[in-house]
Amino acid sequence: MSSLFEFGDKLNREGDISARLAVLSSAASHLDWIAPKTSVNTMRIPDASTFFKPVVSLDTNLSTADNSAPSSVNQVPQSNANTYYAPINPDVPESPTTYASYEVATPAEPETLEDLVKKRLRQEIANLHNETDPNVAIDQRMGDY
Amino acid sequence: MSILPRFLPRNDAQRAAAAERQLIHFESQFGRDIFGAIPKDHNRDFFCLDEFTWIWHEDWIDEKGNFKVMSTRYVLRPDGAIKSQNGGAYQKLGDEESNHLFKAIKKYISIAQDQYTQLLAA
Repeated sequence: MSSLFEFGDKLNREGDISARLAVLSSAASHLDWIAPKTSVNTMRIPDASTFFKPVVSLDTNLSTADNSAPSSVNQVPQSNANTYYAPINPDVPESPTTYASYEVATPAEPETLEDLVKKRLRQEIANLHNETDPNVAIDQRMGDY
Repeated sequence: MSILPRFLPRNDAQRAAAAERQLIHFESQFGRDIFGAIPKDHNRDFFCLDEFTWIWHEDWIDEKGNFKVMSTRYVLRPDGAIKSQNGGAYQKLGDEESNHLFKAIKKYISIAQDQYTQLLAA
């Protein structure tokens, strides 16, 4: 085999070779991606993806789940307890039950004439009490004209 | 204004690229022998282009005197290796070819690391 330095004289011996060794080290670290499965399984502890239940992809989830959307964003249907639902899935049509937990305000009943009169009287009495300062009261009356 | 820099490209990046090509040529000397004897009138190269890409180039003259080339680019990805031959579409490697590539790369890196370590220690 020819000497490395027969290929040229542009090498910075340590810098260039170290950089190349770093590339080869990175390449070596990617060998796991194509390692033969048979020997890997006998030598290694299974990784987390096989220890735990797999996370079903959203596409699979949509195809295997029933057609109804989850009844709330945090509730997982019992039939698909192992599947993962994205908190917000724009592809799933909104279900009316999604909003079941919202509190709907009760419309107020219309006030009777008696209530209106009482309210007006209370207001008038309060105004009289506010006229304790004569200057304020005069100013208010002047303002009315 | 000078046009010389166009012909004398020696900034750091270009110099480093030229040095890496030099090292790849060096590695290809042993890379080509990993796959056994090279048939007569064949040229073969096998080298690491970058951390994900490996090249197997082979050219030869067939019995009719035609020049033939087979250049295979292997790309390693988290879900396995894919290859493209002579610039064609990429396809996923079968288990057997993937295992062979695995062994070849492992051997290549082992030899290269030994060679470079010796050079640095000298």
